[in-house]
Amino acid sequence: MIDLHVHLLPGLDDGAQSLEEAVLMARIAAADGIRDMIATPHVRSGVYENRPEAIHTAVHLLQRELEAACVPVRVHPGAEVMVGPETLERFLAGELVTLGDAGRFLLMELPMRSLPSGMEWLWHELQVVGVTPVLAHPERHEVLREQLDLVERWVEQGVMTQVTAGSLLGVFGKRSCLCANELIERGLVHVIASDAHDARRHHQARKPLLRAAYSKLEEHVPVETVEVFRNNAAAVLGNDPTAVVRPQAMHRKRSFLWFG
Amino acid sequence: MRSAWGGLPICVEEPQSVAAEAYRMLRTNLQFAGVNGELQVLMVTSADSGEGKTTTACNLAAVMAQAGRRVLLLDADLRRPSVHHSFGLSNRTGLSSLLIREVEVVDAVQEALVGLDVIPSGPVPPNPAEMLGSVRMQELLIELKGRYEVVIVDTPPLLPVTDAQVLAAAADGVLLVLRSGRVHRDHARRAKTLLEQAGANVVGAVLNGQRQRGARYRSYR
Repeated sequence: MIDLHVHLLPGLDDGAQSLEEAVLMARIAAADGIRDMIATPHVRSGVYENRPEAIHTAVHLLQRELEAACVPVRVHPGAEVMVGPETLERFLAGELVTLGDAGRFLLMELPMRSLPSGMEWLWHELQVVGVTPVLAHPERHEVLREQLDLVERWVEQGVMTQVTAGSLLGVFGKRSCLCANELIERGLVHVIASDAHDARRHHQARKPLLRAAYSKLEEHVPVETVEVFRNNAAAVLGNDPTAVVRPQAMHRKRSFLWFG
Repeated sequence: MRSAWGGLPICVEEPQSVAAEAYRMLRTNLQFAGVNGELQVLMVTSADSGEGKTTTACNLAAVMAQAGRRVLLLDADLRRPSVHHSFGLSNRTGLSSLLIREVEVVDAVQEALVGLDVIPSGPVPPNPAEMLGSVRMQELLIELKGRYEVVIVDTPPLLPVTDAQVLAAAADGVLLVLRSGRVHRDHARRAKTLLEQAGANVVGAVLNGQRQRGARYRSYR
């Protein structure tokens, strides 16, 4: 399995706080069946700078440590960029690390409680320069999850979306869970990722546990859809936007809850 | 994976199609009406939104360029611009940037096809009608007439806002695009009245989306 969204690099943000913790997270991931992790530290102006050099150095150090500790996971550079008025400028200036640093997929998050204006403009301009926007965890966004028609328009405009594994497992509350359900039913989700931040806490919120989410999906969702999620993750890692596919919408009544 | 634009205009993607042939016929008819001679600036508008004026403007510009003309397509719809979507071009600078003198023409122009340059709308301003009615806009049109054989201008629809009326007199000719089955007769009449009041030279109307009765056409070779 591939995990495209993990806060794995020690000390760069609110994720792993030490090299030991990062190694532990990677070990948990490896046991979960994850072989590739894209490290996506937050990039937020004024909060977490995380310029490309810092990210690359951290990835290199962690990979070396994992090899020494015999953890069979490959770490790739990436970032989770908070959308702001200067996102496009910063990207064009080379300040933002794309997923896998291959230049085609940019993982972005929105401020949790508000919707900035001009998103369609940003999606368009990024695609003009060959970048596919990947929107992190829309199901957890307070405003966006009440406006799924907007998410649909963005997806039709070319935006990929990533749902967090924990949302599907009910870890982030009922609304996120229901929203994740509905997004998947409407064919508005392209990939599942862990968004893991640590190895410390006992509840499963933010440990790298993708397998549990996939198992849950396999119980409720057509096998083709789950395959699409896996293949899309591979397409991102392989830097191939043409291989990314939007899953079919599911034609059934929303009569089931996915947690409990 | 679909991108922001669903493909280029049909005259570019499928030049042998029936639709492309229809646009070439439109081009020929306009030649007889005097475009490429004394009609250099051709404004394309409609009564309401959704009638296909941008599609018409983009395709007409494409077939004119394909015929060897040096064409500029100007997106003067500063409210809901879509020319940049049709050709997958950046809209970071454009007409609005030119009108506030932020950039020169050479910086605002992007080549869409051989022979076809595009100036997209640029960032949406708070006062579109005012900008289109400015002296600067008049100067710009004169400058563009000096650089290009044909300038095709996409504008907002006539009925909802005044922008198209403001520009109509500055254009050498106006092409009115109407969608069959969608536009109300009174709206079409009102659009024509507004153009007459603006002193526009209406060179013709395009009826969009009419179903062909009888035999289906195959594409021409």
